[in-house]
Amino acid sequence: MTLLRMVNVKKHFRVRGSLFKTLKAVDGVNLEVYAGETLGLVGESGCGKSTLGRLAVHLVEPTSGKIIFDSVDVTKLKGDSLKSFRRKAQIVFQDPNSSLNPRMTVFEALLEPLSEHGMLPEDPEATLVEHLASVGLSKEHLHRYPHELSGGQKQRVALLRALLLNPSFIVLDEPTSSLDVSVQAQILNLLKDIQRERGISYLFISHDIGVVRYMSDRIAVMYLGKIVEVGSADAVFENPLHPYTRYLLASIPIPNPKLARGRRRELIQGEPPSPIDVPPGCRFHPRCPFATERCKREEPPLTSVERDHAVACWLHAK
Amino acid sequence: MSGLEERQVLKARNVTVRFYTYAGVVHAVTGAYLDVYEGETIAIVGETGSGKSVFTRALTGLIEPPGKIESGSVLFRRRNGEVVDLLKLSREDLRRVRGDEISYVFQDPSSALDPLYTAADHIVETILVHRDVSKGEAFSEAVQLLRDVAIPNPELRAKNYPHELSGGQKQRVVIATAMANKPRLLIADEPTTNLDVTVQAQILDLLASLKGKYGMGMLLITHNLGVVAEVADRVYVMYGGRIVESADVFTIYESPAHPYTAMLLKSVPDPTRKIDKLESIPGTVPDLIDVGPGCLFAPRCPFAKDVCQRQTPPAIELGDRHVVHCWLHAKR
Amino acid sequence: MSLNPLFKLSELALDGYVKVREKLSPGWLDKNKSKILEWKLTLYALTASKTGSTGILLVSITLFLAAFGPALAWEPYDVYPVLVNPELAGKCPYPPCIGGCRGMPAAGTDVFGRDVLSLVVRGFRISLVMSAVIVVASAALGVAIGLVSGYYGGAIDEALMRFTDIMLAFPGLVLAIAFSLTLRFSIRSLLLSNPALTGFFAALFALNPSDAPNIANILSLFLALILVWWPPYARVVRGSVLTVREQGFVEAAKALGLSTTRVLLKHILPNVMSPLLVMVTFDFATATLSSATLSFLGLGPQPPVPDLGLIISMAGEYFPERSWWVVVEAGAALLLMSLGWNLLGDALRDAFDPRSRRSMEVRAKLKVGA
Repeated sequence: MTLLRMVNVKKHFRVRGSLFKTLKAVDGVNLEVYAGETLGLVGESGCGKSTLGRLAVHLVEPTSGKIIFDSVDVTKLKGDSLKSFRRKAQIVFQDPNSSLNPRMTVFEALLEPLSEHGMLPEDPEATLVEHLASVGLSKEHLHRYPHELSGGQKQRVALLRALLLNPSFIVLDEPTSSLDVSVQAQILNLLKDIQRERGISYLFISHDIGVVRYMSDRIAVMYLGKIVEVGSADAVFENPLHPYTRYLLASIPIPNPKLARGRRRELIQGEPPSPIDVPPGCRFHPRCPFATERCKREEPPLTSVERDHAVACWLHAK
Repeated sequence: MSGLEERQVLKARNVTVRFYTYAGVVHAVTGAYLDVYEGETIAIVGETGSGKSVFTRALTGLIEPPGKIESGSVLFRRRNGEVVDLLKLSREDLRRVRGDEISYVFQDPSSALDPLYTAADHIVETILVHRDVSKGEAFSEAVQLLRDVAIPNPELRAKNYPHELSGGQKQRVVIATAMANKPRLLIADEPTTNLDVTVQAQILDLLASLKGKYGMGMLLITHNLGVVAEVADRVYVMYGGRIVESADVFTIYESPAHPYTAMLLKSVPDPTRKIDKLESIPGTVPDLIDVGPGCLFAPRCPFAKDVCQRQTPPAIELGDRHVVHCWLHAKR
Repeated sequence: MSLNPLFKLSELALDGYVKVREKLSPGWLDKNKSKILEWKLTLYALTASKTGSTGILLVSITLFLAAFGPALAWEPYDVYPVLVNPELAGKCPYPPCIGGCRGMPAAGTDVFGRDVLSLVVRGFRISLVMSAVIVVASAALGVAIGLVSGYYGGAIDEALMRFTDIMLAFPGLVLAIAFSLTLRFSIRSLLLSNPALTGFFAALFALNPSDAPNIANILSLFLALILVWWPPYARVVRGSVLTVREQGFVEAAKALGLSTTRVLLKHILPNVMSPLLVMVTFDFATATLSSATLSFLGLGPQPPVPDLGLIISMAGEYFPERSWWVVVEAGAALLLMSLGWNLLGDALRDAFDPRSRRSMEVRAKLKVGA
């Protein structure tokens, strides 16, 4: 069952000081997130994954395209219906240090969304203490200020804040990137437990592909504002089809010295490009060793190649 | 006092660094040690608060008040064969060593480069400070170095300012600056953490080839266990300001002796396999203020015994340069 | 613990307050431990330096005299001894003499025979109310405009900022003169037809309701000054808002569906408060001196109102040999007030700076609770 469907979504920014140049952060994305699953989104800087995450919860207005959540076109929502959408679709940001208001205690920060949506419990104190336990915190954290908490604790609070409204969908934008390795494992396990209990869908955005593999049921690979490959995690990892995906996976350091040194790998040439100067045709053709004339002229659409595995590449077009 | 073996570049022993803050005395590093040989890549692994960054800065005396290097010796064999204790050198002499015989590459290339100077300016500066060459010669060397670090069109890029360069290019410029005087030892503190994974792979490749070309030793500080597996020859694991285990890279990954090392390895998701459950380490890293006796990992260790709380474990040799600081491996 | 007596005193007061709150609603202490610690930290930061302590002292004196001055003053301001006792006319202004001489006040008199010190003590109230009204009203107006302008950006921001620029260009003094000359009559009639309003303002300034015309003067001055005083607030607040609105927690607030009003008032405004508070404090000093200057120029209240600027102005005729004590005493009062606000502003700025705050936190080793 599809929970979120993004149809040809684009987000362009005008470049300051230039009349004609646009920054095409997201340039025509078609994506679906199913109920109860985790869709991992990977890509490097400039690929637009963060922007896509914000588009998914309508924190930014798309330049064009439709975002359909629970069969409702979100871009057309206003007022109360928009507010009701916000209860269902939440987001957790990367930096826990800035996503909590430094002047509000944990108690105040958690009470606020409940108050705004008319969901205040009878005994706020007791209820919140229970909620804190569900993310591994305790009563002593309730009346503290953010600066009195550790990074991992702050991120738990941010997660709880998103969970309080009972969402069915959460965008996790690099939720563990600023945390230590051992804390990261705790938070990832917590996220998995919560998903198992409540059936929430996640859009898990990260540059750490190992983490994405651990968390995701399906994976989408983004390059320069477009999805180049999407499919089940196993399919994409075991049989990467798009040349960029292959380069990406080859570049990941493997925490196993025998395997790491045993392999020979091709490394990608050049730098991740700028979304201001998008190449014509297939965006990856300047760096692709298999680029054909067609690749330089026409942009390949995302086509299904096998069950639950689609790729946007002329090499795999039928 | 030449305590150095042949082909050994660096020998640090018993390095202790304390920070005297209003909150109390922070035992940032206690009794740390290190051996680096020519052509080796040594990795120091640890999380926040492990002391790895402070330790590596202390090696060349880069500790400012309220920090103080309480004790230790860092023997270093200079290019001319002379062996000196870096911690006993005068500030003047230390300045001569840094940038010339021992170079640093830090995590954030944007803050390592001065936005008012071009790429070539940075490299030329370090050449002129340490060697007696003309500006023109220094500039051509700079261009050649930029070519060596695989920057396309180096003659043009040499005149670029940092804001005109991408993250990967900036880090290459930093590496070129560090390599300019062909150092004996390159210390890289999280050099690729801020970079994209494809760029990271390129930079690590570059560092490996440069190391081979110049025959230098490399000290890599990181928390990324994948990077360590890719490039390191030997690994030191730090926790709470102390070395807890050291061994060659294969041993560390295949048969880690210290519970922290083992649990850390299990908490990192391996992208090549589908994992069911990540094992996390309960608790948090210790507060290093006014540290008492005993093993600092004991509160989080599932194998902790009585003695672990009371006495700091000594170094125990497990053979073949595998050393661990853990009571579990003490012979009765 | 700090050996600073001022800190100890204020900490005692705070602890007392905490005890009372705890008694009224048990469990309050636990819930607000972190908050109380923050208050104590601010108190510590303020009293830690000599400037801070001096500032607090001077401001406390100012506030005390402003509140109780008129009650403590031993002479009425609207009785002219020279009229009551005509033979004094030639002798006044009477110079000061320690210990009192022949029934004349020790601090000396003004030209009307009034005890200067008593007038000055009353003058604190007028100065404080004047500066308070100007600053608070301007700040409120400026903050509102700055918040809206900074948060919404775009065309609204442009329009509001251009309007602010125009207002900034207005010459305050000229406007004050113009308003004072033209508006005072309409305000005067307004006050005369509305005795309740007159009574309110009279009580505020500790003046007689019969001095309604003078009150009208003051009010017209207010209007003029507030109109030109608010633009810097709008600018500063807008600048702060531009920074704060990029913070993660503001984006998070939007994602949680919080209303714009709530975001502005609970998230943006509190994080803009620190520079604002510092600005307000410094502004009190400026406003005190500015209103005194305007009164000196005759645009403010007229005799017998004991406005400090006016008192100095009237002594000008006989200055320096025959009225230096008037200028010294009234001037010292003005100095005390403005110095106090300035020092307090300095201390507040340091107290709010997050970096120095955190390092002080450890040094202070503050404790909360029994």
